[in-house]
Amino acid sequence: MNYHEFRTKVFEHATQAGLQQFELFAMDSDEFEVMVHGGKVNQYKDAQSMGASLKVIRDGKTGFSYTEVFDASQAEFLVKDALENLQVNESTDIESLYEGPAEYENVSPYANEFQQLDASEKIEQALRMEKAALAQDPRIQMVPFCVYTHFSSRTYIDDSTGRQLFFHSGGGLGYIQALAQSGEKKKDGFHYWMGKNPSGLNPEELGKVAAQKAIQSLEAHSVGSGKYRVILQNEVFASFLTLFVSMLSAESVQKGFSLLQGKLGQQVLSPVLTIDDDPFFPGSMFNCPFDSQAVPTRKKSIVERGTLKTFLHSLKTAQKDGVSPTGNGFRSGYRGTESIHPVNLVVRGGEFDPEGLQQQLGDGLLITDTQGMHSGADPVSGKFSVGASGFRVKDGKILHPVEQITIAGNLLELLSSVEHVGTDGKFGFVFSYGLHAPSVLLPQLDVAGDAD
Amino acid sequence: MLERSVLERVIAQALGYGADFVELFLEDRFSTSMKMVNGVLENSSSGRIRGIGIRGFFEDRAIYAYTNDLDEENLLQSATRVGEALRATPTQPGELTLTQDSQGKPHAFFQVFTTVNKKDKVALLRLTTEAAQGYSSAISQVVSTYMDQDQKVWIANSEGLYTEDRRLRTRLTVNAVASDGSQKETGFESDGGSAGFEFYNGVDTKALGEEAARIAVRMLRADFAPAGRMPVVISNGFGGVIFHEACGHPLEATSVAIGASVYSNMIGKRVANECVSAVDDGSIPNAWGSGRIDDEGNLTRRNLLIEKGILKSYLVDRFNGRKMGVEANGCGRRQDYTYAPTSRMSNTVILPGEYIPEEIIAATDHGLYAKKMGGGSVMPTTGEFNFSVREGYMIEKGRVTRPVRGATLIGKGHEILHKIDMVANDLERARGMCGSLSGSIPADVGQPTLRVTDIVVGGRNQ
Repeated sequence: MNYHEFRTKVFEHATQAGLQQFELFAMDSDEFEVMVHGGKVNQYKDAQSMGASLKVIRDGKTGFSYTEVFDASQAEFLVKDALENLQVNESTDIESLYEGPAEYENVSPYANEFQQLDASEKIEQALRMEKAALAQDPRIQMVPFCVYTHFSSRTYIDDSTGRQLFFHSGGGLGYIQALAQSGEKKKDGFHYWMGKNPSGLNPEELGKVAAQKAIQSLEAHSVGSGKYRVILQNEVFASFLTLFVSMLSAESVQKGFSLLQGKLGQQVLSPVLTIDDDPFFPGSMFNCPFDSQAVPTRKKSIVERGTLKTFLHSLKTAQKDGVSPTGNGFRSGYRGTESIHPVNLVVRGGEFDPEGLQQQLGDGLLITDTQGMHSGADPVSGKFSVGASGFRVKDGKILHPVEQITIAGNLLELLSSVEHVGTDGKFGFVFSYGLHAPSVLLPQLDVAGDAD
Repeated sequence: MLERSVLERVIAQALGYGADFVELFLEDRFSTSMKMVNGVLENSSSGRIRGIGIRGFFEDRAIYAYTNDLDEENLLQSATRVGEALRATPTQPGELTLTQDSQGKPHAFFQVFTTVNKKDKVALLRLTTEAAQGYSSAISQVVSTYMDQDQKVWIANSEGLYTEDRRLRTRLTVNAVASDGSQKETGFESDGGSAGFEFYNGVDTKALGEEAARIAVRMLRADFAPAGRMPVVISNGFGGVIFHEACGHPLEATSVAIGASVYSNMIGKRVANECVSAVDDGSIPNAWGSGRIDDEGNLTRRNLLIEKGILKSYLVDRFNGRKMGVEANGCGRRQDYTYAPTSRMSNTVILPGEYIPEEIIAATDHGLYAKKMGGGSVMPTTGEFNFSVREGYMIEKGRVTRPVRGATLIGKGHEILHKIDMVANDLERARGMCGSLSGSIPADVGQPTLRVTDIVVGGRNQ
């Protein structure tokens, strides 16, 4: 049976089971990916899938069950299984369906911009990325990964209030890794582009930058352990902000997992930092008019000149705190459970361009990459100790590339010590949300290295 | 699930476009996951996925499509898309007859998860949680999770293979937070296996909770680890994550085949100190990373990777094996049907040596004792790795002394292997989830206690 018939069946069974509040969340997704190597297509993927998740609510408790099989017996099982999950749920938090105003911003949906290109054009773009990297320098030994991919999802939310919502989101990604070799030394460089419109992808630029990054770090060595003045380059700063995001979730706060608990309205970060959640950020493929709970998304200030203005809420956490939901209750797909995160976390730019920031740094380190953020950083304690690489800077000038160091500290201390913010905001992404962050200058960071 | 004749027609469809190999991977899986936060069951979710992946090769090109619309007409269309994208010369395929393969023994299971009351699963979480909470008044939060999955797969290919497997897996994890008002530290423990719910008959769920709590409390009272280069003794079990990341991943054909691995063209050469031998074995009965067959339909097996420091074998999947001119060796794995399979580890361990663990500590004048490792990552191209130490201690004059926290180990995998100079006899495996090109899959890591003569330890400067 088709999805429409399946939904009708599920709703019939739910009603028969005496349920008054239920919601079906469905996603119809497609994915295309081409990977090239050595001037030829290596792997290629072209796929489509659809699934739906039922949420049932009774006495403020929820139960979930999902499926990719749309037939009559599965419709019946879905309701039974969701109810079983509801019955073991012990949460005292009150769950409900959204009942507030249904005024949604007009967000331009994905219009299949990538699908309109022929597969051969996309292959051509990927091949050009690889070629540009190889042509950049004879020391570029190979391009281990060179990928052109795009994906889109049609989200449907239908619930027992009669609400029917639909949104189509999507975009594409070009990604390249170049490997440089000089003698025994090997270094790689990465670069990527993402966006909603394929015309923004410049294959030559992608290949060239990845190659340059690899070449620049070839002669890297470690530095001595100690405390250094440091610039965290935009992408590195963005990866630290992902830790901050998990502290912003009202769910983490309410359950005692966030260092920001009890800090609303207080100065928690450096006064040079202002951070928004902007669901309508120009060009972001994450933009959306509503979250996965049908709550309208809205632009809001999270941190204003260092002061914490709001946590991010789902319906449940907002109810518990007695505030309005913020439109941040998301699901990564029908298989996943609900989680709270921004749509696009945007850090307001500062006053110094990269060179100016380097002048302000004087002597220190420019950190351009970190490794192991998922394991070496703990969002609960805020502590981190992660691998890093970048450049040694002296008198505002780059001295040599640096590898095999670790940087360590506490996230909130790091964020409250930020001295200057760069103008070089760069848009990137983490799993399911966008991040726009500039480079920042820190007066002091613990560095462990291996040189005298 | 699908008639064998349908699978034959779908394969034939892609072959007709000139594919020189076609493979189908059909999956039907039911999973449950639960999360208990501070003793309250906050979330229980379950569901079913079902879909098919169609893969075609032509020379050194691989095309993959998947769908969860199993109508024959749609499958034939998907096969057509795969065939067309191969850009080969269409041919008239010969007769294809799929023949059931039944080699090897399936991993035994007794209690299928759907027959177990969800309340019994919640009870496991409760036991673990209460054990962690009861360990110390410093334990401020406990999060425990339970998951199970019952995965049925059917694999068919143009060589006439038709085979199936049923993999039941379950895992229990517990994360404890200790706090003293201003500081927080976390501890983690888990257990899991390829078995039905009977797996928990042999698991001390209380001990899991207590162990997570013990680590959190111990680390709360620890100083920060010192920074610098020093000898590191890595304890058994999850310590094997270093070999997994730093050496296992670069041995996967995915990077070896294109010459991107530090171990490309190194078979027969010395890659480690003589005391190091390592295997990957997906056939260990009921182990977390095991299966009767891999996700390409090949029997899993014990692959000797390194013998006394000499590189013996890579982990080879079918597609990369074709490029390397070697046979696949039963390690083509994938998260689910939405991923094409590639070479992956299953249960990977460094084999035991002759020392007893205490001897290694006693032989170390000054260094770090990494009793529990956290996670980490590696770049297969350069071998650069990083790992966090979850529970660490200083070694001073041959004895384990004060606890230290916040240590990170960094280095280059191929260099570290040469610096392992003592290996103990206490091999143990531990559960992990491994993420790579073909998604996130269950994998065991493991090793005996061993010593690395020097690693850069990232900590704080005193």
